[in-house]
Amino acid sequence: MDETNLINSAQNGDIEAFNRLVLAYQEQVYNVALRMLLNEDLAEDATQDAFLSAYRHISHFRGGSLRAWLLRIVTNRCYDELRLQKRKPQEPLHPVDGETGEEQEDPPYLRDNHDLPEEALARKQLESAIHNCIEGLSNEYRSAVVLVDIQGLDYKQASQVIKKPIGTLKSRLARARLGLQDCLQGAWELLPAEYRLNQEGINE
Amino acid sequence: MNDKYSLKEIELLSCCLDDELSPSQKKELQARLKANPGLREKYASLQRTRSILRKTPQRKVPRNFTLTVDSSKTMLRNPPLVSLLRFSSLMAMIGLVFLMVFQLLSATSLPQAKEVSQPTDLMAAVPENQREGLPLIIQWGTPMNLLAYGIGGGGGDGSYPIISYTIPREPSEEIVSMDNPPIEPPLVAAEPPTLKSTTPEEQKPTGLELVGSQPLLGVQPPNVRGQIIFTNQTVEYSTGFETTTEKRDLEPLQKYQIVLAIIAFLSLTISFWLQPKKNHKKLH
Repeated sequence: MDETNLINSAQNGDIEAFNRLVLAYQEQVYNVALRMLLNEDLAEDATQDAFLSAYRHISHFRGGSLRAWLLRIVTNRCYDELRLQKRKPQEPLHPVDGETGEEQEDPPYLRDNHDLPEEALARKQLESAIHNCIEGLSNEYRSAVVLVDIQGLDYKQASQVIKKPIGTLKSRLARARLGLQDCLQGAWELLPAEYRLNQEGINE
Repeated sequence: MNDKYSLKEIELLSCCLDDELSPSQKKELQARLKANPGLREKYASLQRTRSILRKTPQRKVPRNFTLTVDSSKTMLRNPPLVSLLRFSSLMAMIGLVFLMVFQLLSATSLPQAKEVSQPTDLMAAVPENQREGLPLIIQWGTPMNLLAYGIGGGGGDGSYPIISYTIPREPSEEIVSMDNPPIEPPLVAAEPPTLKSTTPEEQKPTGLELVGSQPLLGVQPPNVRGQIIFTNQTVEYSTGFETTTEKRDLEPLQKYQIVLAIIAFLSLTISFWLQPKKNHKKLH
């Protein structure tokens, strides 16, 4: 069954059809939430909320890109969460284990990763560097860079997701890249060698 | 380094990286890049940044986010009462804001209450040798035999200049002493009041003389109702009384504001209390 038929079925209340759409897009939706919120638990909640909201409002979906529609929902959910965090910072000094409820002795950001395979370690270092730099961006710049550079959306799709004109997106993206460039340059030496790229020309 | 180039130039470089420039813009930018090594370096730096971001690893989802029939019906759906309470809270807030704006506009449109100052024309009636050093006492309607000088202790020594405002009275009307206060004081001035300055020695109680110019409270006799008694002298005082009356009219507004604020607060509080708590971990 193609996507249009699945959407039609979901609009008629077929939850199985909707779940097939969920399986198709959940990774992308989750990754957008994760890069926006920079927190696995919050990203999980935001993704779940986004799919629930999508199911409730799928009758309002009037065609176009379902991916852009879903990403818009999760992006808005992330904005809400970030605004909430700004008002009430909730990051504990020592993170609490979700299962036992006890304080973690070695939260992920303090863990020694030397026992990981080399490739995984490099990936972890890169992710950590990007995480730190994205954290310094404002919400609007963050969404622009997550959608275009990390998720690979084109300008038209990304502007649909954030519901802003392409000109606004271009401006935000340029500023975000400028900020990230300065930040990543500071961490340049810490990046794995394979990510320290040589200068590339415009015609490449 | 960033200061060397304008945001417009950075935006052009950024769009060029994504191949979002028109052919003419791209050609123009390429020419500038060839001529300007600094701009070329900036472009390369942005390109490296973009390449790194594109290599950000995608995470696997920690679990499936598929919905169940039960969860889709119950999650995030507010009970009708919660929606109703939130709506009533919103309406109360709007009403409150409306009333506040209305009150503000009403208050600013009213004439400001004027502080009654010593009338200069009355001061002119005081002999010059008595203007300085002694406080001026203006008597408003107090019979001379009940005169107090306003210096505490129930009276003074009579050494202060006094301006009395005399209102002509009907001979038949009597001044009633404070021991036997009138129920309806029939105090009416048929003509504008006359102004005279008196020294303490000249002040003698007169039986029918009514002294004072403050608005006299009471019911007028039927034959003089509707007549204009005071004109120039009472303008300031009348204005002051109008202001007071208008302020009294605003008091019910404040009561409504308080009621609306309470409704808004209670509705919102109860709606948050009744709102179902989210717990996604229990979904699957």
